[in-house]
Amino acid sequence: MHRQQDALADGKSQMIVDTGPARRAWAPPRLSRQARRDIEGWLFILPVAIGVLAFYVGPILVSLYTSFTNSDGLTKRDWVGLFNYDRLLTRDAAFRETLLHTLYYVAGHIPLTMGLALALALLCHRQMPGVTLFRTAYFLPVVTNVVAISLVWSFFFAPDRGPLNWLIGAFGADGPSWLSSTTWAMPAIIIVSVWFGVGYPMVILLAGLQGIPEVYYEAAKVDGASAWWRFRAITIPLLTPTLFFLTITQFISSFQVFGIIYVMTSGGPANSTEVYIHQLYKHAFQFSRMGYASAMAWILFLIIGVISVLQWKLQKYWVHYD
Amino acid sequence: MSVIRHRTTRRNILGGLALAGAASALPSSAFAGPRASTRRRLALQDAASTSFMNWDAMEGTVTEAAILAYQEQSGNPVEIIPTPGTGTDYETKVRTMLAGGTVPDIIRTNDDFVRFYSSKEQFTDLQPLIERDGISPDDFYEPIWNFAKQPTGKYTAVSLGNQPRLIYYNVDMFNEAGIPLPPKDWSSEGWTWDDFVEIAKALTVEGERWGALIYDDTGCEQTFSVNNGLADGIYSEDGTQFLLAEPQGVEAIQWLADLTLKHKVQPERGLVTEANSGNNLFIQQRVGMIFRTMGTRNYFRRNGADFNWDVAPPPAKADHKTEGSLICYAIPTAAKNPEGAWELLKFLAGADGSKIFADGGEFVPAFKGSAETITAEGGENPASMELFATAMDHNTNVHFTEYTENARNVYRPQLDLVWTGESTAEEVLTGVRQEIEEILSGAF
Repeated sequence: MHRQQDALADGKSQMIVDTGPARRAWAPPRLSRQARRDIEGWLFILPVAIGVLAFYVGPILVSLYTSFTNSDGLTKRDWVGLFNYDRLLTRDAAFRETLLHTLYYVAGHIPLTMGLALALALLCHRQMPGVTLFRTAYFLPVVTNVVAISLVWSFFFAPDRGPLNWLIGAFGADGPSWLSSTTWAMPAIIIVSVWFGVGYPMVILLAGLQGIPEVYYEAAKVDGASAWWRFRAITIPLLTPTLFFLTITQFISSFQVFGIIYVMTSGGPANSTEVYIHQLYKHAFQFSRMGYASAMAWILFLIIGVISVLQWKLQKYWVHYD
Repeated sequence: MSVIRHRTTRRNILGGLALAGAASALPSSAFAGPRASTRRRLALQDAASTSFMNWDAMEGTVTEAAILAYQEQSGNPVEIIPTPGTGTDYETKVRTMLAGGTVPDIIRTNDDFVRFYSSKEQFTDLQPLIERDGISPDDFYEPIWNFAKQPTGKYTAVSLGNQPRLIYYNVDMFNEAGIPLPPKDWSSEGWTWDDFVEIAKALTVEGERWGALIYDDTGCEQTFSVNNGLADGIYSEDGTQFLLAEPQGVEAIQWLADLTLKHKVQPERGLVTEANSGNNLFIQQRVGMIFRTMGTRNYFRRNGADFNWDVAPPPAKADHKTEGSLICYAIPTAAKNPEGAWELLKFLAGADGSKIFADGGEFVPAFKGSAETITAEGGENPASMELFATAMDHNTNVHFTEYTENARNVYRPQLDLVWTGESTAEEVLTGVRQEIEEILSGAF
């Protein structure tokens, strides 16, 4: 004879006498209202949860494991402990070099993109004829294929017959050999990435500008504040939450720049545009060092994570939520 | 009434976004190669058709004609797999397919990578099939046939043929400048490196056209270092030494760079880094001589090189050789239909397939006898077509190992500094030698 203790909805319990498997009738367990709500909630998010687990969490965990192996992506995968991390941090000169190139890119891309996006947002915030057309035009590159953009810009940068050098030549100067010069290749990449990426922050900043109550500006005008002071004392402070959001997201995406460089320079000339993710890609798919590439990915994760936390901590000094 | 357990704030959302963004830096690197059980299961599926992946578009090519001929002759269907293009795009696709066990039955593979994939046991050993079907290696040019023979004794790819590199030159430009044409055989008379520079100078019109273009072809490193007396070329025979850093190699690379930097007869680097940019300069008659493989012939013909042009051997110095690119195909170990793949490869490499390739001027087939049919027809360019066939006797190959590709990915970007004059060949090549030889030793 079996005994079973069943939990009831009212929290009490009773003993059930089980007379054997053949005569037992199955009944669904009685759940509390809270438990039923939890289950319903989980059922609603289950399709997405499965996708997230299968295509995000799963691969992330596998890549973490892979980073401790010598996986070549094809056959072997032996545990090597911290070897990949140790080599990256202590013996890989290319790792440090690509990190510096990435910081160069980030330092050029973010200020230029944010500055230009703010300027464009301020322009597009004005009530002018045709302003919608300008907003669309500035946003258009964001929804254009990065490969197409990169190829067109490669043509613009052509040293002998490219429009850019033609323009420079019109002023009596010789344009550089943009993409084959170790000095100019990265600035060229930054120019393209700013042009390509400025539309998105512009739209977000525009939304931020539209959210600032007009009454503040009217009050400032009554007090005799100039346009510059209204911008400094009202616009910028009330835009800081938006600027903070954009700084974090732009930083993360800048650290992962790949497409433009892959198409335009492949990291050249002489590795002068070899950035972190491109190097990671080369380790994974050209050098067949999947374990090493995974370790690089996790180090990048930590770098981005640490800097994001720092940004988060520092926001109290410059972000105004009210 | 809904229950809200956690207060959603703007800070929460921003924090979540930051975390998600950082997490997206992680790759989905779940590559451990397909399991044997997966491979066996795949082998049982769809045994009727043979899937074939090339790195070029197939439509209208000689390769497509050969496959159509096979289908007609055998009645076996062949499925062409679309490809993203040559270079790293193709290699990335191949590696991903190999890792996922979804690779086609036959894949085109860069001759540089045959040794690597073979060492990873990704290519089927064809030796048992060769023996079973009584194929005689004597029917094929020995250097091409033996290329796919691995140190383990396995035979892991089929080299259908070779695309030798020659100098394509604009005959009209030579005539206009009153310069004698280069030799139509492998003679060095009037065709040494010094002669070449003088001819290139005579063809150059400043600001309008250049006399020569060599350094944008990847075969220049091996060809010109060998011709400068470096018998083994870039790597030693056992693949452990980086010989390009030896004086003859350094001198050859510097000579190539000086065509631009010193003699001003070659386009600057920035003009020839895009795909086909050098070829197009030749078609536009802005370059008088260009160093290219046999496969470029059809590119010139298809893309409007409607002036008189011909081919000549590379200029001679201590030696007179040229590096060819081998046309290699392999049957991956994960192929679903290896038997069908083998039948198609046998046809392509055999007498019938080789004749189609030879007639189409695509490459010099490995199958002996076919090469004799490589001649110019009815005044077509180039008139000295048979030079491609005779180039087989002047062939030089890079000594590949499973580590040479990684070595190349390190030293070749550094050559940009030589091509642009930012460093000398000696500084660059001797500077990277130790690192390259560590890579070649397999150390990591």
